[in-house]
Amino acid sequence: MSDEAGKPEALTQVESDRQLCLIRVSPSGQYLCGGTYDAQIRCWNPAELVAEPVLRISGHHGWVQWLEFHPQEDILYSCDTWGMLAAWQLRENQAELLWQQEQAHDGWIRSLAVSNDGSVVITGGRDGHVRLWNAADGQLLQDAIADGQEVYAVAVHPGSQEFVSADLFGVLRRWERGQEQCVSEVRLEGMHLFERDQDLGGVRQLIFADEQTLVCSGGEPKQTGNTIAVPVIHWLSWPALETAESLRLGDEQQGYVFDLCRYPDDQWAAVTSGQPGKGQVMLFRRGDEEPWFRHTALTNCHSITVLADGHFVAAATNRNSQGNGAVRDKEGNYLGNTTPLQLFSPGSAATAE
Amino acid sequence: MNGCGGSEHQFSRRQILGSMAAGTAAGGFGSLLQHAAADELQQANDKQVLLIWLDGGMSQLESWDPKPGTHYGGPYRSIPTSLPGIHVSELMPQLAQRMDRLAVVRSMKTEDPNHSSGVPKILRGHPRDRGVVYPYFGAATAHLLGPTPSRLPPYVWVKPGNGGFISSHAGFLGPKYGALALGGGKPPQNLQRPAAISDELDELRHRLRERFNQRYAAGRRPQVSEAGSHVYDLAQTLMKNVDLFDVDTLPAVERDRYGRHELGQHTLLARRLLEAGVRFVQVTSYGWDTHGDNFNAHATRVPRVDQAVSALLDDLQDRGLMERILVVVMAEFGRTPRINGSVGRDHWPNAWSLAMAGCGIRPGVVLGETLADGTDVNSEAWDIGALFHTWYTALGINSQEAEFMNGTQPLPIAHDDMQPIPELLA
Repeated sequence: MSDEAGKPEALTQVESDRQLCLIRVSPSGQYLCGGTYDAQIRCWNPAELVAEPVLRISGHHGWVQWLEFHPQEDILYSCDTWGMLAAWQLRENQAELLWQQEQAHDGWIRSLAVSNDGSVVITGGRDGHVRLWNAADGQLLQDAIADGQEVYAVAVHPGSQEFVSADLFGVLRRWERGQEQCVSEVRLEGMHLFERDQDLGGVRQLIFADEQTLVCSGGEPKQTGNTIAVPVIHWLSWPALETAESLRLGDEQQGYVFDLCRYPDDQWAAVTSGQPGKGQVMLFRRGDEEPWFRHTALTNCHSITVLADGHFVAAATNRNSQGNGAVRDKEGNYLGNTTPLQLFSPGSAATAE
Repeated sequence: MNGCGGSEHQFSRRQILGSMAAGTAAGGFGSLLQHAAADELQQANDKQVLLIWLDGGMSQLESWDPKPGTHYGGPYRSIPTSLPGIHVSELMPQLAQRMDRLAVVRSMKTEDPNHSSGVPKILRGHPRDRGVVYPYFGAATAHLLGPTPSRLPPYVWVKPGNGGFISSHAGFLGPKYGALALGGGKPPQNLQRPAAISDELDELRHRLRERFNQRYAAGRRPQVSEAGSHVYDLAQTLMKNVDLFDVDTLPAVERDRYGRHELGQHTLLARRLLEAGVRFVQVTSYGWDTHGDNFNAHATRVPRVDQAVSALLDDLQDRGLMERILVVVMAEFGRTPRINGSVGRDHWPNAWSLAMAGCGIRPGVVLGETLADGTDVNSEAWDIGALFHTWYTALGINSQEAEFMNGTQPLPIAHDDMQPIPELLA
């Protein structure tokens, strides 16, 4: 499927007429799910990608900010910006609500992660709380208060009772289950900027690469107003939280790493979004000085997800999404923006090089 | 439709024209209010203004006119307010509790989607184009009402960055009606007289300066020559009030209430300037042009407005100043309903909101509405010209009869096709 050089090819592209915050593929590979800006979850069949979703799930509010699947089953965990957390069993293009917490947080749940064994769901919110939930029934297991700061990202350690959170100010906090106070904290320089009465930046995502390595992504903000930031990924030692390695994925026009996920063969896939028309899809390995694959035809990319066979899908934004004043069609209808979903063939760094 | 001062504080076109003619004959363009009637207006009128300017454009959807759960509504919830049935963004919890003291217009519809031309249009009230440059709201008000008995500068602009005397705000009124800008909320540099200069020596220096001024003024237009000495006089007056800027004298709890951020501390300074007798204070907050990362930006920015304006409203109420101080919170436009790829909102003059409170304004009013998805006005739309009429009326100025003089050219003080909005007036 990939080209002769081993680089992925852009295959099918379809368009979601509602903008998506995040996309994820189910373990079975049957469902590509996206959370929308208008409280829905839309699901497509990635094997037969067409614009019309095979399933639409309602019940959320605001933006469906984050989605994650159970590691082995087609159980989808979703959260929204009004504080709701839910679990759904997807089967035969139907969604069964397993449980929900209408007010899991007071307002915007920024991030959600599932432990490697699928037993625990962790959430972090604008309310400054980090919460652990029983993935089976949605019962609250632990409520940690992250110093009152807005929590942007969370992750569960794969081999211990520990978990981690990160906030708007670039502060990482290491927690242990059952402990009220965080065990340690570290501020990542450059990932927060205070300018013109505005805090900006923050660690946007946390993923454990293994038991000794935490990967965190986001950007190094340079100014308010427009999205001027250098997208960056840091590999940190665990539990010391010392930065071992960093990779900057572009110039300050490229903005933030909006989404990061594992790619086969110990590689990583990331997307960025910055200034209008900027943003890329990238594949790379730890240690690379430069991503071995960059796709620049999509703009303002917000999410990426990888299928088991190495195919991957990126969610971007339609071109010319920016503009002052009203944009209307011939009938005078106000026009919103959309999310193109681009399917790529698998790639191989070895053959690409 | 009376302003807070009632009809006795309103001044007719005839009175103003009378004073204008005499003022002009007495020597000076833009000297409309130097006659007896104008003096009467100024002496009788103790009204003051605080304009909080959110430069770049605050999103109406993340503040005064939320559309939660709609296509373009964004991530935030709305919350109930002290006005039954009225909701605002969850980012404004303190102002929500004070909505019964505010008047909000949700159906602003203006023309210009650009900062460079839109800011001056809004701050000038966008009058009919007559080929002249109108004064900004602050300069116009300072001119119409003059300094208060405190003799402090009538128009002070508290802003981040650099300060100075900004004569361009005055338009055809002439440079002396410009803004004294306090950059970073700091007094002009070298305001304090060095200790080595005695009173006697200072008086000698003052006389020498006046002689130089007289020599400089000979053969020059009064507008130009007056401006220099005017600014000097303002600085002299400020020197006598330099303690206004010494925030260390304030209790920490007072500073905390406004917020230890730029907007908070500048709003606190504005209150102190108004209490000391400045006629018009503009506080500017920069950085609202959120083409990118709009929602994270508003998450940190709007609560600072919420905190500062709420503290201000409480203080004005506690001090009995709401009757004479008009507070306006606005920008040059709002932000687009549609959300762009940078997760931002762009410029949107088509349907936006502003808020006001205090002197002459009817509290607890929410005027106008937008469509359910926020994409257009769904009631009578208001231009900034109508708001200028409303604010002048609230200040006791008959906006439909009073006129500026640009040389011998009489000019309406607000758009002559528009009029005050009665629903907003106390």
